[in-house]
Amino acid sequence: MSKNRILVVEDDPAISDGIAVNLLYSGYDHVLFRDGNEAAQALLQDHSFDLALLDIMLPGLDGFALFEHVKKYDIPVIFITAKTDSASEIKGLLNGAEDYIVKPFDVMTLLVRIEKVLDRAGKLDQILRFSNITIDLQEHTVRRDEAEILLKPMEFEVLVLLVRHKNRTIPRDKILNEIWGTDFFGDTRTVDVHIANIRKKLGVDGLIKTIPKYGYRLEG
Amino acid sequence: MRLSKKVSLISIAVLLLVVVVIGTVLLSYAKSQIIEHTIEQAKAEHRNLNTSFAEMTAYYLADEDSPAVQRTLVIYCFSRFATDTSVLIQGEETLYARTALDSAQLLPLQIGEEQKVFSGEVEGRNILLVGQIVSLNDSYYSVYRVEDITYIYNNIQQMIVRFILIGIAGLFIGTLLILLLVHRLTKPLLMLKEASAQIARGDYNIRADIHTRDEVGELAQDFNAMADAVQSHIDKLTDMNERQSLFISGLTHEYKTPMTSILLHSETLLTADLDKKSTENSLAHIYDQCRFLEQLTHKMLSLLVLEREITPQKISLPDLLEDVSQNCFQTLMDHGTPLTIRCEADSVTGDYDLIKSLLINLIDNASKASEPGQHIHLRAYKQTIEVSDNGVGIPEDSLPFVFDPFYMSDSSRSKKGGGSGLGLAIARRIAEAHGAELLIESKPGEGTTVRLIMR
Repeated sequence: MSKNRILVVEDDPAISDGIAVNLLYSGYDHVLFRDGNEAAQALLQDHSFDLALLDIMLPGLDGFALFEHVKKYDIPVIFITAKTDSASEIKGLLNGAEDYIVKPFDVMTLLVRIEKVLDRAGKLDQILRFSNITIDLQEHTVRRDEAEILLKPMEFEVLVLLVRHKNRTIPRDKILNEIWGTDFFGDTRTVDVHIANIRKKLGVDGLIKTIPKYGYRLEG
Repeated sequence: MRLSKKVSLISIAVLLLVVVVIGTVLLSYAKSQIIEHTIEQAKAEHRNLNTSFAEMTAYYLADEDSPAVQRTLVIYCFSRFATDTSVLIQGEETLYARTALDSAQLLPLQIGEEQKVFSGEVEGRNILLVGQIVSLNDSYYSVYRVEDITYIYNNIQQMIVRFILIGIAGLFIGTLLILLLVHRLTKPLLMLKEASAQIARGDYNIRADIHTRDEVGELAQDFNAMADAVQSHIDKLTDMNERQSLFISGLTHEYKTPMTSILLHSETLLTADLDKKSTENSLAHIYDQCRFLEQLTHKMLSLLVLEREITPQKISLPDLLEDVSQNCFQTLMDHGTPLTIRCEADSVTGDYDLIKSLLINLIDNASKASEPGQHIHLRAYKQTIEVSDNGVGIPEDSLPFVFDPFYMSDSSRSKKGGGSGLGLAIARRIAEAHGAELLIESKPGEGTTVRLIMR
């Protein structure tokens, strides 16, 4: 599958730059607009996007108005909003937006939300490859070369998260939140135990690096 | 117990008491008067009858010696004056009587006595008996007047019944009037009570609609004055609260955007291995946003500092305008917007540094609103200092809000000009601290004029 293409409409240059550099790093293509009207005009010509990230407060056309244009091309939308009032969130979701992110947000949250939306739309690869390891998301199997490695469900999820965000340090608490959820009562030791099991089962040392006091990172 | 009930009950009780006492006194007085009058009349008539009878009998008996003739003559004379009520008795013998009553037994008379009266019930009738001894030719006659006065008692009875009926009707009407009156008198109090209850529930617009000229009316006026004071106080507090919460939400929003980019870029630098160019770019963003936050904090502080009183001094206007233009020189050069100065007044009174920073701020705004080549005018006359431009202007619907903290006419709050949205808010605070007026006039496409009018 080719790279996913993402439409970003955000007027603050510092924030849009921050989003852009991360999308690039995670292997997404993106097109950036800082004005709602310009984005709407451009959509008439080019609308082959897998996802749109829309800020609510935009010059020209605001995020909700722009959403009406994006909807025409069946592009899933994630709103980025500084408004914390639930009214605008609900309005966005009821209109059919896939998700919303409230400023300030962190990089991992943004990337995981993007993946979830793309996954729902069936626009993510179901086979992940890393070095000599192959992960089949549909069959829930992990192979090193041809040999199947048996992972527990949570270990599988952690590995997928690491592979999807290879070459990026993922904080322990982020892993905990993403895999076990915010309601989970365990601490980050749970993450350490699972990482240790994955390392043992994969049998490849140095694949998953420990970044002291911070988290883990798959390098290669 | 409710006041209206109390007053009504007491009034009705007093009315009842008055009617009963006055009625009893009046009726017993009337009754005794009527009976006395009847007796007096009966006595007088009886006396007249006796006198006439005696005179006539004396005249006829003068020449008669025969007792039989005398007896006949006496009866004859008596019958001339007698009525149905008259009785004539000599010794044991009744000479004349139309009534069956034994008068002599009811009212025995002694010789030498004056008129005697008996009044009482005999066989179920009220009888009035008047008796008198009349002496004629050495003989003594008992003359009675027997009158049935039951009808008078009946009349009195009827009178009492009528009075009681009238009394009850009077009481009824009186009670109605009292209730009506009490209702009218206590209605304003109830209205006051209702109004205060509504105010207590938070409806501060409510006033008591009472215009009577009594103490209650005065109370209502005082009450309304109190409600006015409470309302204006509450309004002030609400307004202050609203402004404060607007300020805080504006501030939060103002912090959120730079915070988001700082977090975003620093997390990216921490977690990803960016190339040198991207790394420098992210660091530059973090630096810029931190600088912006620092400036914002500085401005916030100056807003807080302005809560204090200022110390006014005499400011030479030519010096001030010169100083301001020196300060703005670089900015104006960068924007390509020259400044023209006209000074037509000598001095104003105020805080030099604050007025200076206010003017710099206004010139900064004017420069941002102008295209390169457009002039900005700084002018002082009378007690007014004025900054005007021919720039983009401000939409009419935005004008009332330009002095609010964090207000920007562009809803996306894009920071093309790099402003914080606090400049005019601080300018207004400076003007307020001087007791001066800060007025803004603007037309989209034609430009903006801001005037600082000192006291």
